[in-house]
Amino acid sequence: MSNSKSVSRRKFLVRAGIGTLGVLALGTVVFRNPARRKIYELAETIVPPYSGTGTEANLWFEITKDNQVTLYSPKVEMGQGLFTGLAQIVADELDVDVTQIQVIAAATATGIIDGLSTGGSISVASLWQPLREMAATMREMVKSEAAKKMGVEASSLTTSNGIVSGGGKSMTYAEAVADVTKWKLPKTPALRSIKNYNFVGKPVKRVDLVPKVLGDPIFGMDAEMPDMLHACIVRKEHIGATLKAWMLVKQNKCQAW
Amino acid sequence: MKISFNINGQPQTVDVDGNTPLLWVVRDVLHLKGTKFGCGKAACGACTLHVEGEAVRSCSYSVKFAEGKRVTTIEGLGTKENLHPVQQAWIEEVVPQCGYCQPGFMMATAALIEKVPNPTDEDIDNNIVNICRCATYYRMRKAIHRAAELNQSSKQIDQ
Repeated sequence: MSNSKSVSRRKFLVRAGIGTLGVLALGTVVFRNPARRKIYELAETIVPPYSGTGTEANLWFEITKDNQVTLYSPKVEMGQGLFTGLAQIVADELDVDVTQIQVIAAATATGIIDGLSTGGSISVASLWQPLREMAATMREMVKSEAAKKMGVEASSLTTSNGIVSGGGKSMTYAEAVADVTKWKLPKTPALRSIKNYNFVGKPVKRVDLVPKVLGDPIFGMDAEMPDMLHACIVRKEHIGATLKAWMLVKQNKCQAW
Repeated sequence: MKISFNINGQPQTVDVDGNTPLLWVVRDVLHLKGTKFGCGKAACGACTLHVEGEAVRSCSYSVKFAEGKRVTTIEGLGTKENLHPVQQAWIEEVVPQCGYCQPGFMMATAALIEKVPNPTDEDIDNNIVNICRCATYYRMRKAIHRAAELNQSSKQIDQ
């Protein structure tokens, strides 16, 4: 964790999809927060615990075969609308509709989780810059692959709603990046003016409504691991009672609570 | 003891202590995680599901009482392709924030509008007494009225 300052925050990593549906995934290491305002001084100065080597990204997103974008959030959505905010940020530089973006909580198995945890109103501030840079970079990568497949100059192509168009032709992002095995990481393009953003700063519907109304297992308590044991707290029955002793016994079957 | 019941349209037999709360059988034995644990004392309603169409707080309902009965959880209410009117209304009114308590609220609402097809604000106050820490109550009230509307129009189409 002490060497984390020597790692470039803008080091992007490309790999095949990290989920089962991905065709292109782009990630980066976010361990220092670029927030500049006084109120975020904590985020600027603190070195959060980061246990990776600097090549293991903790912020990923990927384009999936069905031309959707999956964003693995290192920050927790707890009702504050963060996942929607992150989707807005990505949508405006990647040129996809906000409804094409699925934001999911990154599992520890898919990357290192942000040691700064979630709080202090720094989630959007800390991810604002790296996410926009990653989205803009990915957009250029998609365009360059589409240009090869369409036989045109990348500069003649436009992007919108997850589709690359130019010279009377068009293809989806997923089609453009399918079967590509060697990636060239371009220089991060200039970011757009905030004035020209279509989603950032505009009211959009939350992106996490459907899993929440279906009762999907999205909460920490819903996680299941192999051979997981379940436990519960037994409360004392009398005021003033103290714990005298305890023992661990093997229970094959649940005892009634 | 072996207990058999129907859950979300499927017959099911479990072998557990009969006094185990239905909630834990649903979550940990049947792996249906949509029904939530909140207080464990039937006070908050996060664990609400249906037994024979009635809203039941499953943290305080022994599984033995479900023997031979029809149990419905949030997973059995609707699907992504075929949302229940309550789920549709919840999306239209953008109700969930953190979302943890919402399955319980939706199950309570689904049971209410079957009994009271067009609930007034007073009916809602008297019957939907779950607790939401995000305080989504204002949007929830709008969504309950909307769900009642959608439910009635879907029934007219069915007839």
